[in-house]
Amino acid sequence: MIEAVEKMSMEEFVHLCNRLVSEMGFKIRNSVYRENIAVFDAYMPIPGKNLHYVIIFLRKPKVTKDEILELIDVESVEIKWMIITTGEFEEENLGEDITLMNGKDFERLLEEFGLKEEFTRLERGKEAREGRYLPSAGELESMLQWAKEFLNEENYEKAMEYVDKALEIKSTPEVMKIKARILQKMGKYEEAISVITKILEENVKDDEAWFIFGEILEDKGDLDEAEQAYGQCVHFNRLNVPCWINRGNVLLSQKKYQEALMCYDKALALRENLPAIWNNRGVALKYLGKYDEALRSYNTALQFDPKFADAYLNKAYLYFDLKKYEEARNALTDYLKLKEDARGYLLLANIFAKRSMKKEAIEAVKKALELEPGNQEAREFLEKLEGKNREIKDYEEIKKILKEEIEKISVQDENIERKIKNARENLEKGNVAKALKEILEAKELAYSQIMAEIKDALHKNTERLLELADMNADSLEELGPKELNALGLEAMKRVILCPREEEKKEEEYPRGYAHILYEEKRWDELKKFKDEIAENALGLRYFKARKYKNAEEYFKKAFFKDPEFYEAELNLAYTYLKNGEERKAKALLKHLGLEN
Amino acid sequence: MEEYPFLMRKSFIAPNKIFELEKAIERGIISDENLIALNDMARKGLKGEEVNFEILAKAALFFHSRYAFYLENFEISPDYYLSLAELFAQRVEGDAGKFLRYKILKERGNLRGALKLIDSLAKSGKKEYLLEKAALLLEMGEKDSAQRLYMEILDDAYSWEHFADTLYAMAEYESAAEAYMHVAELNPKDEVYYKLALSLVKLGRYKDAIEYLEKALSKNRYHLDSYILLHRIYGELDMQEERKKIATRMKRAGFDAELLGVER
Repeated sequence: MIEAVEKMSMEEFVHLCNRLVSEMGFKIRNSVYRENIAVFDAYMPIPGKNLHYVIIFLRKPKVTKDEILELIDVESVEIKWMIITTGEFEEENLGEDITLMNGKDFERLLEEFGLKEEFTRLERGKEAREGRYLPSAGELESMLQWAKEFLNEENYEKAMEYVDKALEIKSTPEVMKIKARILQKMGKYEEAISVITKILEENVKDDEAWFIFGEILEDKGDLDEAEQAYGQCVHFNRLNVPCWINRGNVLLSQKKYQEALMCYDKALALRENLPAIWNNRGVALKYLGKYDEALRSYNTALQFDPKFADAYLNKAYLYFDLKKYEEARNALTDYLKLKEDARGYLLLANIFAKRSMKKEAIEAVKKALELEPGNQEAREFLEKLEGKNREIKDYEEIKKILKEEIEKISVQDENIERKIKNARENLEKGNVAKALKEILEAKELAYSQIMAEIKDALHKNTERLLELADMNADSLEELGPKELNALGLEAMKRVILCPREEEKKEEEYPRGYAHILYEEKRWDELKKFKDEIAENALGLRYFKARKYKNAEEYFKKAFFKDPEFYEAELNLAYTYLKNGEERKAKALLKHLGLEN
Repeated sequence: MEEYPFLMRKSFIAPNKIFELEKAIERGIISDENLIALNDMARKGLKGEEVNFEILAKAALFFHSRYAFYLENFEISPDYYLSLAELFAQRVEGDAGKFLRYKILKERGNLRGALKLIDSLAKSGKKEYLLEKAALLLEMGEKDSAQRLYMEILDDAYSWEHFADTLYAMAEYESAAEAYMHVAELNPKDEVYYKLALSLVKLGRYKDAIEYLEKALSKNRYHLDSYILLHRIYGELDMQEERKKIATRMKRAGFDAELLGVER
């Protein structure tokens, strides 16, 4: 018998060992194997306590003490070691906690736990086929058992090998279902569907086939069809708990929360001890807005399994949605104790962000990214958090700059004063955009006023210089600042270089001479005279040239010199009208008795 | 000379065609268009054509009173406009012609000739002529005759104002002020209050003048002369705050407060 064990492939050997450990009553936590060595981390449940065992299987003719000491950790406490070999041990006693079992013991164990058949099946099957004996049910069962176990171990190639061997013996629905499952796990959905539909063609009421069909469709992504398949499954067998669960999960994915809730309730009515389903039920209830019930459902899940981490996470999500950040954080702490993952830290970051603990939020997101560097949501959230910090800093800086700008604006009139007041108020309220608009408008106003004043001053200055230099001052308004400046410089040169004799002449001329100069369009000469007749004459000249602002200036000068010179007053009234200053014009016309 | 009998080719005012010619002369507001019409009419009249000589005579008299300074620019008699008026007045018949000639003689300083003419006109009993006669007598120094005549005709605001104006023109400010006060009682007008204030200012009675100027402004808030005179008085009294108030009141009335910057 031991010879047969030694001839087995490594997978077959590990599988045999696995069966033996399980049959001996151990619960396997983990298993690893390398060449001719299989190690099982397991425990023996006894009332009130779990005994921790590490069981090592060896295929070696002789095992030395050193080899054993290399395999085990002698320092560890509360661990019992069981070493089973197909050969012999160099030393038979290594202490209380180390049980050594040689080839004979191994054979006895296989026989005792009914596994002797297992490694003789292949041989016997071969004999049967070669000797043309009828295949026994036991051989088919053995092939199927191998196939199932390799399937569970996710060794699909090996599983397929055994299922094909089983099919060579007999094509039964059970074998075909296993084949369909193997194909499903291998991602060969169409082949899997083809196999499962053959079964259903034979027996449409096969609820297990419908269940497998549903799982294949679910894996394929056809959720509607999967839900229908599960529907058929429970239709033919209302006691199929896994099907109710799967149907509920599909409906939950499809956001059909009420229907999902009904499926979970059906499953839990049949079997209460299902923490994952209580958890999923809680999710469905949350989406239905039944928060208290959802919370109770999560708590029930935790009553059945206090280490069911997802229930804590879902509780945390629920509290977060309800804006109960402290409770959310507590639930999340329990979750992170059991399971440190990106989802947990991302939620923690969100809780911190909501509580304006930006620094902590950034740390939590960074932790999430450490655990899952490709997590896009975490990456975007981190950018948002850091960006927001920058934005806040920028915002404060902008406000400071705007305050300084307000102080710089020179208040020249009511409009600017009003705009500055509005800008200050908006800045206080945090309406930076509005404040900026007001500041820009105020600056624009101040700037245009200053420019107008400069332009006006430049015009007047140039005009005076031209008058002094006896130069033509026509069309000055059409000239730009540079041209005005050049003209002014030219006039200044003339004033400095040419002695002025003409001023004295004014007195020599009779009063009214200016009006004759006006009649004869002798403008340059006219400008030398300064009496009211001359000012009025210049006003008339500008009035007729439609330069009403200049006309106003000269008519006023005439009026100032002689307020009884009512012609100038009348002219001024008409000039106001031309300038659009109707009120001023009306007042003068009323004074002159020309308007009632 | 014949082309522009009124010598002027362009008027002193900017807006054109404000009033009909007769009204323009009466208001003393002669536009370029009025001037063209007058020159044209005068040219024809001087050539012997029949035109409205009364208008021309009135216009020449107006030019003499208002624009006589203009004649200094020509080598011409300072009485040119009066001569022109005389030529036109001779073509005006009846009392209207006589009254025009009276005015011309008076302007020429021929007061006796003027008295003769106004006397003959006054015989008609028309108050306008009687007032002119009384005023002329006063100006000629014949106070008793003038007084007797005034005693007869001073019976309404119009005659009293004529009398007051004559006194003011003769620089009899105290009498003028009393006469204006009487006029103000009979007919409280803005212009009467203003002339009364002017007389008081001449007498150095600023505070009284202020009172009447305020009355003038209460009658007519557009009485620009009153604002200017008040501003000047407050300047004399060194009441700067009051000056500012005047500027504000002027603005409220619609005036450009810069107009207070008059030189005299």
